[in-house]
This record gives sequence, structure tokens and C-alpha cells, in this order.
Amino acid sequence: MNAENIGPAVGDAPRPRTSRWRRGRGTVWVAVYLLLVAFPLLLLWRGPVGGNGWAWDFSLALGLGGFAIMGLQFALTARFRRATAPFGIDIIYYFHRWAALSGFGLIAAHYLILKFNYPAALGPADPREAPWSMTAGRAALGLFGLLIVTSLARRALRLEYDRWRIGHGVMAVAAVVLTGAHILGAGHLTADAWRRLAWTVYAALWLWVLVYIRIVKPRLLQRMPYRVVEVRPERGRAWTITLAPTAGSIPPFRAGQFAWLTIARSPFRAREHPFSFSGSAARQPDLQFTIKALGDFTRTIGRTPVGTIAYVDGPHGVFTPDTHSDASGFVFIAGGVGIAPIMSMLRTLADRNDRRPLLLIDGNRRWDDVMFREEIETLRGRLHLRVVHVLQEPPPDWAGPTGLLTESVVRPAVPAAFAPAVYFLCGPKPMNDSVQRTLRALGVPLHRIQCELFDMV
Amino acid sequence: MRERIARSVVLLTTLIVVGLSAWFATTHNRVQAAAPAAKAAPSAPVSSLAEEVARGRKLFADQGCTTCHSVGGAGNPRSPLDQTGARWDAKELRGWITGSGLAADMLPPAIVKRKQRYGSLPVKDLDALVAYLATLQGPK
Repeated sequence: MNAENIGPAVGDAPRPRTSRWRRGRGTVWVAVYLLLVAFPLLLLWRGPVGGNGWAWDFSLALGLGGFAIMGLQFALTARFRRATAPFGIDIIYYFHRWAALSGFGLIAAHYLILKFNYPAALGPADPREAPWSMTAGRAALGLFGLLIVTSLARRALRLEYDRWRIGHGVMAVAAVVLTGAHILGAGHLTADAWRRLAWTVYAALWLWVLVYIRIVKPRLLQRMPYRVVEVRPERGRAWTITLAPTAGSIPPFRAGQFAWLTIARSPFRAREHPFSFSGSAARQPDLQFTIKALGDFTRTIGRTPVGTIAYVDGPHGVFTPDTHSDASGFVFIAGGVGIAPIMSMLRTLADRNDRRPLLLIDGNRRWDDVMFREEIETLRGRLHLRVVHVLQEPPPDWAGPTGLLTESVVRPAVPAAFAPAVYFLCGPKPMNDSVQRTLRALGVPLHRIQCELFDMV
Repeated sequence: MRERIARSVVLLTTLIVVGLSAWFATTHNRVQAAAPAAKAAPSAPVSSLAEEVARGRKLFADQGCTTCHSVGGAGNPRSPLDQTGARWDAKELRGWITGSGLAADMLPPAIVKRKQRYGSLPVKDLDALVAYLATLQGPK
């Protein structure tokens, strides 16, 4: 799984992949996921477990299923490229969010069924009197709840992203370890030797994922430092940062993909942030990222000195025209800094002399905020590209469309000739959701709509 | 839209977990469903023992025995004690409480260790517990 992360880029051009390939691979990975979730429950097949009353057994099995889902959350966000490639990172993160709610629901149901039907079996709630395995279970349930609340309401709670991220990791590990201790300590379903062995293997798998994320991967990154060679201001309070490899480079990225970037810190510090490549994929190994000053970290980008060391974990994602090599044309719909991956696509297509019809719908607040405005004009000369700018606060002499990228704006901007095209959406979630609805209403099938999100948490 | 794909797979996962759990609970409880578990009303203590048995029942609850055992469906159903009085005599019952004798041979070491803590209870309390457990004779 990790072999892709290292090694020279030379002669290693990415293969174009079709949507059929992705659907096939996607189905396989969903099956693997379901099997891993079902594994602890399948261990209950036979033997000296169960038979203690329907509600009791049902509740214990629900708890195991919830634990499996929560444990797998680590693997979901471990950025295993092979497993995430068929879906797109947006689906993986939506999945992570919904799976957390499902896992928590199952674990809470486990607790409530026991509390309601067998209150005496739970023993006292006071940790000084309760058996340690029960206290571990209660603490895990509380931590899972806290994890969900702090993630869904991070902004409302005013939790700074980096702090939230570290806290999220620490609490998640603690909650899963406590749940494991609870299961082993209560001992109801791990009675015999082979089940204990199976559970140990299962737990070792998760431990390996953790070691991989926190130790193996940072070590691999550390061997491949990049150097900041340019920091250039862009329109709309954004900066383009250019990195050059100093000792080997990451595998070649495809236009539209992204990477996790660590600037001026050790990769062991877990302070990386995801950004889309904005440069042409035809001009590697130098890497460009365009970053808008939105949060605590991004505001400091403009002050990064040339020569600073940076680490790049990538490329990631399937938001790329290269997985649709058979498409007749492309429509790009960007909101604000969502233009960054789309610039990478436009620049790459121009460098490849691609002559397919392209349409760019670019939504911004003001005319002066329109990132890469001048370069987009230049690219029109090199590509078969049509551009529609949409402004929320247009200047007095503005003749183009105005407002947000709602149906009334998007529908007239997409000519019938683009009906069979593949659509790339990148912007804030409300924009992505609204444009997706519009496109679906226009009859565009889901597999021809690709989305990239930012600001997920 | 794409969020819906993620939500559908999560829903499928949840249904599989609930389905497998229900399957597990059903297949492993089929026998019991055919012959309902003991109603467990412990037999009423007889005159001279009545007080001691009542004290034993209270101790049984206070000492947290229901964390691992059940009587009459109350407590942890994994190790029901509804018929324990019919199976063991007073000496053996004391051994099961304190993790000695037969119990020390038959139970896993961790459980024996846990049970041995009850060996430090006052003799009167142990007697009361034994008296209570002896009344648990199963269904009449």
C-alpha cells in the first residue's frame, strides 16, 4: 500500500483510467470494507458464546459492530491511495462523517439495551466501584460522543483547526483502545483461544494502521524534502507557492489532484494541510499550490521565506480529467479558490494542446478577486475554451451574470452542446450541492459529475 | 448527490451490522425460546433461616454479584445462578464464592483471582450468602 508514496517520478507517467475501472474497483473496496466490519460478528458464528437471552446477545453484537466501524475510521482517513482512488476524497470524508454517526448509534444502542434490560449487569457507574472494563466502556462511549460533537460543531465551538485535528486523533485512539479493553475485559465474546487470537490479529491490524500514519509515513516524507522557491501573490487574497524537489520527488500528479502539505515543520508533527496542485501536470517535478488566506495556517503562507523546507504527501484524489480520457469535453465550475485545481487542469490541457471543447464557469465576489483572470484570458487563445464569470458584487458596467452559482445562473450558462461533457465542481459545500442539483435536473448522470470540496470540517 | 452515495453505503453497513446481530441473537437463543428460562422466583426461605437468607440476598446485590451473575433474569445473564442451590451443597457453594476448591480448578485464573477477594468477607456474611444461594433451586 505504501510503495506508491516513494520512488522516482521518471518514466512513471500515470495511466489514464476510465469510469468503468473506477466503478469496478469501487465495488471491490466497498466489499472489503463490509467484510472488515462484519468480521467480529462473523466470529460469533459458533462456539461457547451467546445463548444469554435475545436482547443481551443482540446488544453485545451491536456493540461489536459499532466498534468495528469506529476502528475502520482510521483506515478511511489514512490516505491509502489505492483504496481511496476509485471514490474521490469527498466521498471518503462524507463516508467518514456518516460512519461515525452510525458507529456511535450502534454503540449507544448497545449501552441503552443493557441499561434498560440488565441494569444490574452494568454494575455501579462510579468508576471507584465499577469493574474497570465497564468504566472503559463508559469512557469510550463518552469520548465517541465528544468526537462527534467537536467535529460537527468545530466552528460553533471556535476550535482552531490544528488543535481540533490533534485532539481528534488523540481522542479517537483513546476511544478505540478503551473499547478494545472493554471488550476483552468484559470477556463475553472472547472466551476461547482461537477467538482471542482472531481478536488480537484484528487489533494488530489497527495498530499497524496507526504506526503507518504516525511513524512510517512521516519517515517516508522526511526522506523527500522540497524547498520553497517562490511565493507569489494572486488576486483575491491568495498566494501561489512553488516547491522544487531536493532529493527525489513524489509520483507525478494528475491535473486536479491534491497533496497534504507540511511547511517549515517536521512531518512527525502532524501539521499538514490539504491543497490542490494548481500548476500544469506537464511541468513537473516543480509543484505549485495556490492557497487563499482563509484560516490560521493559510494566513501565514504569504510570509513563507524562499528556501523554507516543505514536505508533500501526495498526490491524492480522483478529481482529474485524466480519469475521463474518453470524455467529449469538460465543464469546470469553480467558486473562489476552487479555481486552483481547475487552473491545473486548464494549464495541463493547454500544454497537451488538447482541442476538446471546454467551458469554465467561475464564481467570485468581486471582479478584482477573480484569481488568474489574466492568465485565463491568455489560455483562451491556446484552448477551445469558453469562460463565464459570475460576480456577487459586480461593478456598475457589468454585463455578465451575477449572484451565487444557483440554478438560474448555471442553467443558461451551459449550452446544449455540453450535455455529454464531464463536469468538475470545486467550491464551498453549499455551491457544490446546489450545482449538483442543477446538473442532475439537467439530466447529467452522477458519474459525469466530479466534485472537490474544501473546508470540510 | 455524491454525499448520498456515501450515506447509502453507511446505511447498508448499518443494516448489515443490525441484521447480523439479530441473526446471532436469534440463532443462539432458539433453544431457550422453545423452553422459556426459569421464572426464577427463589423459593421462599423457611422460618429460622428467613433472616439470614434475606441478608444474603441483600449482600448478593451489594457485593455486585449481578455484574457477572443473574437470578430470575436480573443481572448478567451469562452466568445464571437460578439452580445453583440444587447443584451444590453449602461447602461447595462457599468454594464457588471464594474461588477455592472445585471452583479454583474449573474457572479461569483471572476469575478465580477476582473471586478470592470475597474470601475476606466476614464469616457471617459468607454464611448468609451461602444460605441465600442454597434457596435457588430452579423452577419447581
